Amino acid sequence: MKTYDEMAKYVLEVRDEHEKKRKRRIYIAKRAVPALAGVLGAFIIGFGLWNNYKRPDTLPTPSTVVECETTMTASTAQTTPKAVTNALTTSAVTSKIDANTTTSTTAASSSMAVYVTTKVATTAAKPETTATQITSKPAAETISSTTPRITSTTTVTQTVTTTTTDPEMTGGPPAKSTQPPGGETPPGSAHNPWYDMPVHRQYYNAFLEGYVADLTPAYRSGYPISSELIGKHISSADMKSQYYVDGEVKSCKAEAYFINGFSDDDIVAIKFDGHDEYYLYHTDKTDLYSLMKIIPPLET
Amino acid sequence: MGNGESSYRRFLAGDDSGMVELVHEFRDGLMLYLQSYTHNISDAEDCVQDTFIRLAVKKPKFSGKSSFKTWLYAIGRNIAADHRRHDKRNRNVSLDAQAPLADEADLERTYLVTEQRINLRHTMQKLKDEYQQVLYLTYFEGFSNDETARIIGKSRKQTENLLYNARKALRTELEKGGFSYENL
Repeated sequence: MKTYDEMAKYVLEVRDEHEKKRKRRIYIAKRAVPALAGVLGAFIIGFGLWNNYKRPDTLPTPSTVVECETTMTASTAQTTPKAVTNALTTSAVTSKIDANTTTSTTAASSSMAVYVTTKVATTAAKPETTATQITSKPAAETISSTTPRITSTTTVTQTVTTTTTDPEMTGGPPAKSTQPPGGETPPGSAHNPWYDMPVHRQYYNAFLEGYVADLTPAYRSGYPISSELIGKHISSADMKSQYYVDGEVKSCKAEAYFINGFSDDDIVAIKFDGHDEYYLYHTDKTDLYSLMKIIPPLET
Repeated sequence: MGNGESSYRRFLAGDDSGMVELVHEFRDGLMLYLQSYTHNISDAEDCVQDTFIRLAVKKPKFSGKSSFKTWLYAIGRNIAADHRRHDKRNRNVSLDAQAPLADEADLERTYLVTEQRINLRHTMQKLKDEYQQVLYLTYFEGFSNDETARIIGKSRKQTENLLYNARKALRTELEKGGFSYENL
C-alpha cells in the first residue's frame, strides 16, 4: 500500500499531466482556429462567387428594352456637343483669368473671347457659325460691357455643367424646361427624333390640375379630334414628354376640356398654347382602337 | 489541521500542500469505508486515490451545504460505485489478491487503534454491504444520520431504518461470537 506522501505525489503528478495536456489543447486550438476560419471564409466567398456567376443574367421585358434603346439614342446624340461644350467652357475660364490680370486693352479682346465662348457653349453643335461671330463682333462694344458679360459667361457655364450631368445615371430630378411647345428646336439637339414629332406625341403624358397619383389618372396621348366635340373647360394641365430629351423631361402647360357626351374619367381634350388643334388624351383603362370608332380622329 | 475545507481551499488557490494535508487526514477512514463497496483493500485504495485525483483535476466546487468530510465521502462512494460497476464487467481475480491482507491489518491498527473496534469491524464484515456502510459511517466516523444519508444517497428515514436493522444484525453476530458492545 502506498504511503501518504506517495499517494499525494501521485495525485499531484496526475494533476500536472492533465494541466499540461489541457494547455497544449488550448494552444493547438488557438493556432488552428484562425487558420480554419480563413479556410472557411475563403470557402464561403468562393461558394458565393460561384453561386453568383452560375445565376443567368435576367433580361428585361421587351417593352423595357424598347424604352432603353430610345433613351440610349438620345444620349448618343448629346455626346458630341457635351464634349465640345466642356472643352470650350474651360477655355472660357482661362480667358477670364487673363482678362483680370492684363491691361485694359488686352481685357477688351479677352472679354470678347469670353463672350464668344459663351455663344459656343450654348450652340455647341455649330462651331463654324460661332467662329463667324468672333470676327463680326465689334471690339468697342465689347469693352463697354465687359463686367456684365463676364458674369453672363459664368452663368452659362454653370448651366452647361448641370446639363452635362446625366439624370438617367444619377437618378436626380429632371430640370424644368421653359421651352414653349412646338418652339424653336435647339441646334444642339438636331438629331433627337423627339423634335420631329407632332406636339401631342412630344408631350405624351397629361397631368390635370390637382393630379394625385393613384387617385387621379394620368392621361396618355391619343390623336387630334374635331373642335366641334369640345365641351367645357376643365382645368389647366401639365404636359410632359414620355422620356428624357437632352437629359431632361420636357414639359409645358396646356388646357384640358371635356369631350361632349363623355366624362373626364377616361378621356379629355387637350389644347396646347399656341396651337389651334385639340387632341384626345385617354387613361390606361381605355382602348385606343375602340375609341377611334366612337370618336373619329381629325383628318389633317 | 481543520476539517479539510481550508486545506482544499488552499489547494484551489495553488498551494499543493493543501492536497498533501487532505491525503493525510482522510485517506485511511475513506479507504476503510470504501472497502465495504469493493471488498478489497487494494481496490479501496485505488478508489481513494481516484477520489483525490478527481479533486485535483476537476477541482469541483465545495458549496458548504454539508461538512467537507461528508462531501468527500460522497464523492468517494460514487467513485467506488463506478468501480464496482466496472469490476462486475471485468471480473478477474489477480494473483496479488491476497497480498493486501497485511496492509488492511496495518491500516486497522493505525486508524481504529483499539482492539475492541478492530473486533467490531471484523464482525461487521459478516453483515450485508449496506449494513456495513451505515454502521461504519455512524459508529467509526461519527457522522450523524443526516450526513450518513447524504453520503450513501438515501433519505433520512431510509437511513434510520437501515441503521436499526444493521444494529440488530450486528448484535446478533456479536452474541454468536461471544462479544457484547454496550453502545449498540
